[in-house]
Amino acid sequence: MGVSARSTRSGKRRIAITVVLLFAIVALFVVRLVDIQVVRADTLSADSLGNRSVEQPVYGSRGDIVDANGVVLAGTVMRYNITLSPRNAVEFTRTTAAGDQTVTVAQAAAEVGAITGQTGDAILAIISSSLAADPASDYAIVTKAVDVSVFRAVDALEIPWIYFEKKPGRVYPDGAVAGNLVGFVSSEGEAQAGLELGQDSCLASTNGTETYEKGADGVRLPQSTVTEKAAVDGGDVVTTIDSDLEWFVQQALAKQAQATGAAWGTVVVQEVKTGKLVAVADYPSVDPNNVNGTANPDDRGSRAFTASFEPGSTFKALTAASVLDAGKATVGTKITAPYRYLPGNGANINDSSGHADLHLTLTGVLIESSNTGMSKFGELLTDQQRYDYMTKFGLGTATEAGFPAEDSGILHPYDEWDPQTKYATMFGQGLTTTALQIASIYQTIANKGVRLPVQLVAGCRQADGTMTNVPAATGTQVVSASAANDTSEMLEMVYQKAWLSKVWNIPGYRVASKTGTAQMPDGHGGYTKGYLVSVSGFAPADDPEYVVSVSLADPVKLNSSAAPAPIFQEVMSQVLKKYRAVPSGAPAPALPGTW
Amino acid sequence: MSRLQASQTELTRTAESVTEDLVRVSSPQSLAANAEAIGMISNSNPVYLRLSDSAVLGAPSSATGSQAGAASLVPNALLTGVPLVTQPAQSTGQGASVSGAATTPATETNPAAPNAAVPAPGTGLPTPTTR
Repeated sequence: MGVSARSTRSGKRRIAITVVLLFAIVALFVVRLVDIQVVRADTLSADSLGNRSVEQPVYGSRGDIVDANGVVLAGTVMRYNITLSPRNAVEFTRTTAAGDQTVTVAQAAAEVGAITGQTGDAILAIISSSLAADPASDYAIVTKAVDVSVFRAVDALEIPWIYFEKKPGRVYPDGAVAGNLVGFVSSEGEAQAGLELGQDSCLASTNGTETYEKGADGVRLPQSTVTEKAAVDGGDVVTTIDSDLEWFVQQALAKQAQATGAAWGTVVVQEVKTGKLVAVADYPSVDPNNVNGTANPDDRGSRAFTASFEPGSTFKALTAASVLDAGKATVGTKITAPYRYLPGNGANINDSSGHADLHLTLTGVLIESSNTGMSKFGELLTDQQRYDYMTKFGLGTATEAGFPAEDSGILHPYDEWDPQTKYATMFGQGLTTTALQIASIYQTIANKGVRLPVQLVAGCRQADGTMTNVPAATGTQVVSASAANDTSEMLEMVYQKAWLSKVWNIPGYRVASKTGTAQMPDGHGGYTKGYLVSVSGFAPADDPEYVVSVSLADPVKLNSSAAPAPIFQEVMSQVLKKYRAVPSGAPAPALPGTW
Repeated sequence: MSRLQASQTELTRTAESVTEDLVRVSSPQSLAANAEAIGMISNSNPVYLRLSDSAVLGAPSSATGSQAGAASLVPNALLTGVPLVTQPAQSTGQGASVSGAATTPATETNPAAPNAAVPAPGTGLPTPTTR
């Protein structure tokens, strides 16, 4: 009994000890398990995965830049970086129909090089130099951004230590057509210029990431790819440009600019009734596919937006419209225009060439482009009145187009005008404008005095088709419809009677146009010997549809507005033909220019 | 399943590559060069025949080709080495579809030509005359 009781007691103790031990061991395991599976789980699995997993970016596609008809001006294509694993670069066995054959590293390198345009030795050098830097090197780039055909050819070699990375590239299918506007991106895909830069917030995509695992031999394990974060594509920028017309205009501009030896030139084509820019050409220009092909960085943008200059006599249309709107004169108001006019405030105004006193109407002043005559009309308004008209026409501020680094032009406050500037601003000197601002002045006159915001981008088209960032299109009445109409009819007389009437003649249409010849500032307060010559106008004048504004800087072989006039004629004809503008019926009403 | 996925990937790549070739040869520079190569000249003198009263609007004159003779002054680096469709390629580095198109110049040039400068006439507007 006693034994039994003792043995029972000792048995109980043994069981108790065993149970306690058991619990202790289980607890130890649990603690260890929790430690491994929970506490240090992330570090450990990262460590283990790090030995075999590879993380790589998944690129979202940058949005396209398209013209008004959906033609792609800038698009994203898939390109491939060819990479290799230096430490795994050893000979391998290739199975072909003729049987197995051993391919050495040198042989493989030569095969790849033959496709990528490198020498086999160059590729061997990539392997040896990365191994020299790091004997365990697992990554080196053979070549970047090859297209699908090269990728396929290299892939078909089935070299186990060659890998590919997808990498989106940017192409500009139309080359230099609208290259001045579209801009370009760097080889790393960073927006650098033009709409690529200005609309980057619309175009930019968000990259995602994915990981895959690879075995000890470096081969990707099937089914191991995990998308960690999905990529988001960028939106498309829809411009108002017509790429076919843009090409024609650039070609016509380049041809005449080269023939006349111009330093640079611009052409703006704007829709009168919408304010949309359908073509903005620059010469010289850039092919965004080959940015370095344009040596001078200043030639890689759009001077139509970024260069301001003294416009000269095209500006007289603005002064005439202002005087008419204020009711200070009519199209037939008579003045006497001398060669030299000394208004008495110290200013000294003269015309471009000597002449006897002319008996001109306001219409005649525009036809003859007389500075002294224009001064006699301009002084009918106060400086403040003229300044207010200029700002309402959009001078002194950049247009609504929103182009990067757009120039606002220089318009000094009227109380800072010196006596000469007071008069010079009546005929387009003493202030500066961009080609866009001049086009906008003519758009206002053509559109019954209503200035519309200048539009280059119609909006940002999101992936779901909705358009965002659509610009405002509300116009402002700058001058009365009758003042605008009278100015238009006077400009028709200029078109018919000015010295270039035979050069810019477009049969069948009524056209309103005006020339300008302005001295160019030398940047040191004086003027150079060169001139900025220009022609601006619109047609059909009886129901205006399009403004065309042409500027050439310093055409050394033909330093007058006879240089831009043929471009105006050619571009306006093409615009009228392309958009099927109906030819004018009745001729323009005749307005007397002299008395 | 896996084979179909692989085939889909390949076909997507082919589609991208062929589209790239297509937009390249659709560029205005390429169209203009091809149109001029088959003897077309652009006429920037618009003349209309109004069908309602047979009136000729504008002053008819023969086309001189405002762009004729001028080499392309609007470069496109993508077209380097791309042959005209009328001059089948001997060998170029461009994609297979370009040389494929070059084997059938007669059918290729026709759709290309009208696009060079003249869009299709709209309804209710005067019909353009060509002389």
